[in-house]
Amino acid sequence: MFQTIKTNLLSCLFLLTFLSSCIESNFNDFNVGGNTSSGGSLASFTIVNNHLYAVNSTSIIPIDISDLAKPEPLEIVTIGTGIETIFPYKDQLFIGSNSALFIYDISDPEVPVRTTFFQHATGCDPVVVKDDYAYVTIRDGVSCNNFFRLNVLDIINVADPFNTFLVREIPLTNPRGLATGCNDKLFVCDGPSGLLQFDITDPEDPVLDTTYAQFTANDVLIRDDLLILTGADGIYQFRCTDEELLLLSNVPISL
Amino acid sequence: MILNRIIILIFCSSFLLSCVEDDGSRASRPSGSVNGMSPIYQSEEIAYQISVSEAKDIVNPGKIFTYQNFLIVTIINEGFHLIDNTNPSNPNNMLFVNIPGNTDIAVKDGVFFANNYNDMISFKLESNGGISLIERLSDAMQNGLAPPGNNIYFECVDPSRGVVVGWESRILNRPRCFKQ
Repeated sequence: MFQTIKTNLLSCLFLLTFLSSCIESNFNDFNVGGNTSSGGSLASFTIVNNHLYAVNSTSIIPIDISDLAKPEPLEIVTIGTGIETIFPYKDQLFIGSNSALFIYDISDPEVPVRTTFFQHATGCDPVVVKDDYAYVTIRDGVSCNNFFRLNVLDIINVADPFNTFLVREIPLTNPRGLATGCNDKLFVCDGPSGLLQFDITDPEDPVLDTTYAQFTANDVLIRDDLLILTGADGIYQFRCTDEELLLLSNVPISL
Repeated sequence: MILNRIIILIFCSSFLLSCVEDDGSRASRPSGSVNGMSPIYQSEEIAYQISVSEAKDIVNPGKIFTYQNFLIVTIINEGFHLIDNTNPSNPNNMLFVNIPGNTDIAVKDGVFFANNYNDMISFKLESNGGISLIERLSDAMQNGLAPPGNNIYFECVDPSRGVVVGWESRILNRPRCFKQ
């Protein structure tokens, strides 16, 4: 029974793979093909067109995947230490380390070139980018090397990759993953304080709309009008509306 | 007299040279026991065993991402759950892909890219529930030959002993390897 369902679903996966190549991509802010997985602010792998970029703790590892049957590793780009996350935006890779945000230009996808870096307080730091603003959370924690016990959301103007600057810093409790979407909203997982919903119509002045305090929020992903939240006890899915999130389902997490 | 001095000089030089050779790495080799890291090995049969198993409960999830109508939930060092999310009101936990030492994945056109410890592997899920490995890029993640961190003495990796799956603290006697 299980085997039959699994077989059918896997067949669907491959059928969908073919079908979806005809469907228009909806990842407007991601310079990626519509037939590619899309991760959140905590990702350490990302695919941009025909290249896979992975980060280890010190470097970018670019791999040419234009021939999926024969991936070709390219020259590794050394950045520094404490590298954690990678987020693609336009022709750029935004790379979060535990002390800085690095921006690499990938106009030549085989050779990422650093345009700038934005030094910030030391801590774990997922990043997302929307409309020329980067949103970075910095939190303390066991593995975060954060000596200052700093927990903030930083908003950085990145319109000119050679001249980035901080426009706003908002103190939070213990922020982790974050995502933009759902009609100009920014969602920030603030650990025990829950999921925070900011209106970012004016990115330089985010307004905290709603706090969903019933969740211990770790990571959030938005695809179209679907918001997926990893909480402490389940993976919750919501439909975005103009006002608030409508809970659709919960896949429980075993404790 | 002069001959003696030359002999002593040659003797000293050869001694110095042998010391340099012994160092073998950028830092000077310690003369006694020091704190350091030692690799934990596993056989290739176990470390490189990629497989699909039935859906199971989600425990300690890592990252989440979407691919087509699927939701993928990674479990650090173990692999990922594949959830059919065609109907987000009723997601269906389909199966689990076991990838030892995995920390992240990405997917393009049905091809999965994942790290298996320090290798990057690419594979497809077959409709019969199996896995077909496409490529294994050895040590593509570049983490394999030294422990994480800086200014650490460590026992040099001996690939003949298997795959390095982790590191443990040890007292090392005159270790040859050092990471700056």
